[in-house]
Amino acid sequence: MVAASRLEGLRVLALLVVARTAAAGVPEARHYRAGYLGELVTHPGVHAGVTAAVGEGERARLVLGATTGVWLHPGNHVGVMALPELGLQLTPPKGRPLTVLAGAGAFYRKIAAETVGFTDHGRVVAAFSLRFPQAWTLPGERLLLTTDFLLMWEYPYNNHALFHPALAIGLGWLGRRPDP
Amino acid sequence: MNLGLLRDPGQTTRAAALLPWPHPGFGMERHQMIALIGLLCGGCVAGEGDLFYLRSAGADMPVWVRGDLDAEVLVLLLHGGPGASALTYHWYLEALEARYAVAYWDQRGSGASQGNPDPATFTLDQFVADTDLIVDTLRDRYAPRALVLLGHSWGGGLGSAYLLEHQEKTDGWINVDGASDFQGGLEQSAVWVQEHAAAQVAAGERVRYWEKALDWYDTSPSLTDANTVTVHAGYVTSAHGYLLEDAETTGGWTDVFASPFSLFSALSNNAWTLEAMEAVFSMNLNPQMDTVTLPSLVLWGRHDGILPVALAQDAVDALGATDKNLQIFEDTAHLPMIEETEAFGEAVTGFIDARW
Repeated sequence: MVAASRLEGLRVLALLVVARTAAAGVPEARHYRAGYLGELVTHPGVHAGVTAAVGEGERARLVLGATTGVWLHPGNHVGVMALPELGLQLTPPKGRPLTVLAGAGAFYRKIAAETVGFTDHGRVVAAFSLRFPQAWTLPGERLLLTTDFLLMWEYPYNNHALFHPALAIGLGWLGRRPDP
Repeated sequence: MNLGLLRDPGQTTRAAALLPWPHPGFGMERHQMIALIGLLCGGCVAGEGDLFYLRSAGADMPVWVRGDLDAEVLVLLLHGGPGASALTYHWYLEALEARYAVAYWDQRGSGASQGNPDPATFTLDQFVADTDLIVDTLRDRYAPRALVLLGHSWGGGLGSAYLLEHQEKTDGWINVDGASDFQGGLEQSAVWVQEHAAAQVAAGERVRYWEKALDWYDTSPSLTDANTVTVHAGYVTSAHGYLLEDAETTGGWTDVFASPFSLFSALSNNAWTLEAMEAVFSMNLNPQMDTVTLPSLVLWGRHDGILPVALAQDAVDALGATDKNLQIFEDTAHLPMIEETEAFGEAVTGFIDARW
């Protein structure tokens, strides 16, 4: 019964759209990040992720990424998300590069309190997201300070999509530039 | 009726302050300081009271029991809407929490209620069945000597429907600006707005806006579907039929960041559930209420624009109880617990303390 209820809500289809403005002075390369994730800023959690440029053109670059995180809204829910990302980084003649990514991911929700009736509430649902990352290099130019503003939608939730804005703040590590 | 997300015709879409939902209060009081500390530590206000969820027909509904959990009296709050939230009423019910256990329950598809229930379950019968489960659960967990229902707005309609089937499980009934006659209430509300609009036009106040409102009422169908009622509710808001123009609100936005309440869940639930439950706009339970014989208190705002005050006497007269009382709040529109918090607390505690 419990195992069945864990699976009955399985809906893995999801989409992630990420827009990224790369920090000036940060060479495009693989970078890793981890740190605080606050759903609605104050509902605490942690996140980790990786972003990498995998192909280059004159004005555009193919970018892959993945973000995972968990947060707690006390008395409401625990949320766990895993969101692969794919996109393009566009380099305008002037100004900072802009990265736009799309992807698919999943969101797992569990009620953060006693539930009368059943003991298990976990389910995987679709997650839609827009992400706006920023990164600043720290001394040494391999350590990054990363801030991400995430706009996520959980579906289905009471027959509609539930909005989850989140702020992620962390430290990043700049990996090697991908081979041309 | 509470509508958390209203369209104000001719103006902007906005989250209207129509329910005890976080209203910014900049004078820092004790409870607000506690909430702020909770915010800073990531939401430990959620630890106040006893919080659990009740699963029923696909919905996981929060029940937050606060106040004196060992009291012999338990008050179950039925919130407005359909589709609003109970979790933020606590800012205005401290007088009750000081004496009794107060249970704040978000109905299915409302407030912080979770799950993904079948739309077919959004019926008055299912809401009554949910209420029955909540009452049974509260009696089992707390064993109160007296369990009193307090229904506000739509909650007054839901409470009335519940009592028609299960009054033996409760001990008292408090109907606050309630929708036991939803259909008649909306009809009177439309007249109320049109009278207000005509007066505003005559006075030269926002003439184009109120002329447009009068045109809308001349051409619009009856108030039986969610879209029409939402537009109407926007006019009620503009006419200060929910909250008077000079109403002072307390409470705090801290609930958004540091409590089980979920702002975005409440907003999106509100819009969806209002539409799913639009059948109740044609509901009138008053002809059956003579079978309800519980001690009853009817409370109403003199300037209520969504369920006008003329409904108050009808609600009292409809009840079969011999122990029934009516109190009108003279400086209140639709939300006496917000607009006259102290007097509201005295009325409710006076009613309960005299009987249980």
